[in-house]
Amino acid sequence: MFRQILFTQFRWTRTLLLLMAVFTFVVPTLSWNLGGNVFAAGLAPIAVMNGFSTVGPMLVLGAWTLGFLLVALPWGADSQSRHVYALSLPIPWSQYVAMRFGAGAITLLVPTLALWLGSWLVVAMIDMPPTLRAYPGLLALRFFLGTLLAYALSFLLQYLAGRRAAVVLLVLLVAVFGLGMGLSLANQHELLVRITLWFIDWPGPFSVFASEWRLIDV
Amino acid sequence: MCESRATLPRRVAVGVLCIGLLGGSSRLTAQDSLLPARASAAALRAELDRAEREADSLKERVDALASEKEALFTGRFEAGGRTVRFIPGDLTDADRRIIEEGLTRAEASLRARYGDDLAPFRDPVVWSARSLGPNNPRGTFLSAHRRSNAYWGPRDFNMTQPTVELVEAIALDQAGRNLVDRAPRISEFTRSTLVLNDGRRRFARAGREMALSYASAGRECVAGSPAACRAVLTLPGADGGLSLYFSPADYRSVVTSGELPPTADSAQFAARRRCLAGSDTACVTAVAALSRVPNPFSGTLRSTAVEVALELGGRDAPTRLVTTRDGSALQILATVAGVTEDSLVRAWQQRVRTAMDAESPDAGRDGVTVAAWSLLILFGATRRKP
Repeated sequence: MFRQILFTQFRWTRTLLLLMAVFTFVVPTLSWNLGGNVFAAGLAPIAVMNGFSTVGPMLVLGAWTLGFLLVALPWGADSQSRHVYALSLPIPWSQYVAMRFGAGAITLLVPTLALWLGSWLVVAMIDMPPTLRAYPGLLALRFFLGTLLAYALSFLLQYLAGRRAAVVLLVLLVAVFGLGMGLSLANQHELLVRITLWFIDWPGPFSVFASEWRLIDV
Repeated sequence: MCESRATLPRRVAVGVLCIGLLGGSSRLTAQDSLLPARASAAALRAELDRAEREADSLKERVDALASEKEALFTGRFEAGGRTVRFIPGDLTDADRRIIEEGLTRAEASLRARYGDDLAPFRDPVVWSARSLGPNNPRGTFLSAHRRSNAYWGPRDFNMTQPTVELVEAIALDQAGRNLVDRAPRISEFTRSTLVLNDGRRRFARAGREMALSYASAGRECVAGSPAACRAVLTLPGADGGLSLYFSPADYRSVVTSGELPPTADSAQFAARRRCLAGSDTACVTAVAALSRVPNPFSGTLRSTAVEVALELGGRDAPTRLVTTRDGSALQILATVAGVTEDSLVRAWQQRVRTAMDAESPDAGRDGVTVAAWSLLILFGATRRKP
């Protein structure tokens, strides 16, 4: 049954996965072309690192986009049939949801592998200073983890809020923004910093995004 | 033009211009213009005198206000071998307790490492604590002032969120500064910096700085060359470290960060341009024309070598650091450590590399976190049926 769910997941999201795979494959090369020209003038190793400085932000953006869309597309297909297929299966709803989640998580490997290959390709093309090292595997793993987290959060929102997911998301965003503004205006900077750090410091849920997403490092 | 009414700077400029014009004109014109110019100069002088008197009066007022402010610091408390002054009613009890504990911890940390003789670390400064103001009544400035502000003003440490750890770090930072300030060669070597906390991270940052440096000495040191490490720990000579730190392959970077003299001629600018365009031979010329080559290594990086010397030297090391005056910085540090210069360099290099290995990127922790959060989220998502 899981194979069937995986198959439908893949079929419903194949265009998105293909586009994201192309995106992650070209991100390292694109980043190098945007920022790596300085190295041609023979600058220091830090110039090589700076050349890839846009890799991290681009991949974080890609991870959130992919995570959200990868939930929305299958949910849309399921909800069109009012979840009749899912509810008619001889398994509990929770098991179906877990399998749907697992299937989506497995498809995240496609853009991750594309990123890994694209990173290797660009690293092979440049003359690396001896004190620097390339971390294509680590970057791909971070991307996978970031995408998985974004996917999980979108999944939670979609499967709890159902058709009202967009409204709930909007309310959540407004609430977060309002809380931040309120605490700032009330001069509660310390509390605001503590709350933020709880989310982004390890083991906070967003700590993976606070890590260094670098292809090249010492 | 020479008789026009204008603002003071304009009148000075006009006066100078008039004098120049008068000097260059014919005798007849000079005689015609001499009297008005003299009158203008006298008026200018009177105005300057008046401005000077006003400035003196303002300075006196500022001094009086500063004295009034100083007189408000009537509160005193002792902690960690220091006296901290404060304005009664300004410092909250909670912040006072934090400062006391932080200073006490810093002293205990120094005592554990260097024994009871902490004289070389003691402050020649007065510490004061005051509130950040009405916008942040919890925040506190902890300042270290020289008794006389003759050559060094106060250092303010902004503690928006005062914590014991922060006060301890500030006190240790100040203690390190006090120590190197008493040893002129070492002060020059580290640019008055010696941080005595957060050890491993600082060594890892030193390694990172060398690995990313545009000076080949730094990169080769990280790659394992003791000779390159020795060069990193040597202060540059008259050529700004050109032969010490850099290889010809680094010259393009040196030209990018170095400065041409103000009197540089067109040939020197042309050499610089050709160098940046890719000509290696032009880089040799351009480097020779530089008036200043910035030191590629920071004082913080070199201060890690002082820390290694203090560790190797044991409890009397701070005293030896202050009392040893002869030789280069590296020789002094070897004396402090009680080992040869080569051994000291190797020990420092080893510490840097170990710290770098310990700080190398690792996603294992992130993996565990994301897996745990994802499972928790999945559990939440299965709670509701459509």
